[in-house]
Amino acid sequence: MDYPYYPGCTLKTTGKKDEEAALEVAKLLGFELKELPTWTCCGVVYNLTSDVMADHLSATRTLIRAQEMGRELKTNKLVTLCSMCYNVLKQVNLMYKNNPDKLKNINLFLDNEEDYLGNIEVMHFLEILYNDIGPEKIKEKVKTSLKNLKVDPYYGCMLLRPKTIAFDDQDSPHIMGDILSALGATVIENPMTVECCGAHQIITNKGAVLDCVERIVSISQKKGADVIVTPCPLCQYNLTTAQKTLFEKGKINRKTPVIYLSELMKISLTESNQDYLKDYIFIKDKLDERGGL
Amino acid sequence: MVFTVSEKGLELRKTVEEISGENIFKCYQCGKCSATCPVVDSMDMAPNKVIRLVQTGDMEVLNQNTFWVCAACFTCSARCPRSVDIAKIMEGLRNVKLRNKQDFINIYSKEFIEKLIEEIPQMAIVSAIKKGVW
Repeated sequence: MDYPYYPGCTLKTTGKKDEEAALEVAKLLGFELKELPTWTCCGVVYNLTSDVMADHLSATRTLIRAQEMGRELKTNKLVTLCSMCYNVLKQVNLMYKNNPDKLKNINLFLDNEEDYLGNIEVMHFLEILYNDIGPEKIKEKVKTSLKNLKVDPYYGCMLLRPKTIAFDDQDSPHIMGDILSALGATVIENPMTVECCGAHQIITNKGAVLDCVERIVSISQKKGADVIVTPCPLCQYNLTTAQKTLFEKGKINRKTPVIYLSELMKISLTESNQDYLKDYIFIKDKLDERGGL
Repeated sequence: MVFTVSEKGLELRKTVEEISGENIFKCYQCGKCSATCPVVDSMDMAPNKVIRLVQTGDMEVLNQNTFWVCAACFTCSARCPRSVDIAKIMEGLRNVKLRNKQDFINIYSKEFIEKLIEEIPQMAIVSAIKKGVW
């Protein structure tokens, strides 16, 4: 089965590794993510005010593109890889479902586009992996078991909050852990798994991000995680860069690599992963004494 | 105790309620939002106090950095026992400032432009602009 896929801005630049790996993982699991032919920004943050509609326009345009592509692919799903895009598109979509008046207004405004009918289902890549494929089937396809690897799945905010858009338990999510267990990894439990990484405060208030990351990472390290796994490009960036600063300041005594779930999946699901593994020396180094992957 | 609320204070309360769509008096000051907020350490005033000031129509609330520091992570909204969407109230306060042409970020400042040269993900830059610039 093929899914319409919306990448968003960051997956084409700093989050490139996530997209590359995820597209390949999809192929290895027997489905394809087909990028929307034209797309705009999703809006990045969902406008929480009750009286501004203009901020929802770019997300609406994307939903219309998905509607067009969905007709060809005979599906009403739209897949995103980025947590932020997932959050915004799903909240905008939900707002239309709950307020048909607003949908009518926006359709009148967007008179150069076809009408958005409000029946697209926005899904995150993780949901597809868990609901449409399932951990059992992923387990069958594993070529290299990630045994000996201790992973800390970190969700961040945007996949689980607000409750109306959450696809997993808000306080103790398990989907990412289940998938990682299917790959053979040892999943550790970090109570900070749904804590915020500081998000866009990295621009205006780096101190807040440092505080958040220190809390998340120090618990993760105490529990002995080799890698922190996240689906979000901003979490990945914040956790990585803040750790550098925290390490220089002596607040943490080592840096834990932060990688995307799709990257670990690619390592585990590809037959000849030696070339690819070269980029992940830290994983190899850590595991040598424990007998490798 | 009798509160006298200034006319400006009343207007502020009404505007915040209108923009956010939330009933500010649902809050009974338990402080769970402040206890759960990941960035509360950087705030001048804890989120529950900010809500109290809006309830009492105290204009001082607009001089706090609380709503600018808010990362819109929705943790407070998810955990509020009175289902007050605090994130929406923070957005309301931000909008009161922004609609009065009091931007938080000057996108033409050297400081901000230097950020653009660093390899910060676009999503962070656009979020910061959408939260801090009208």
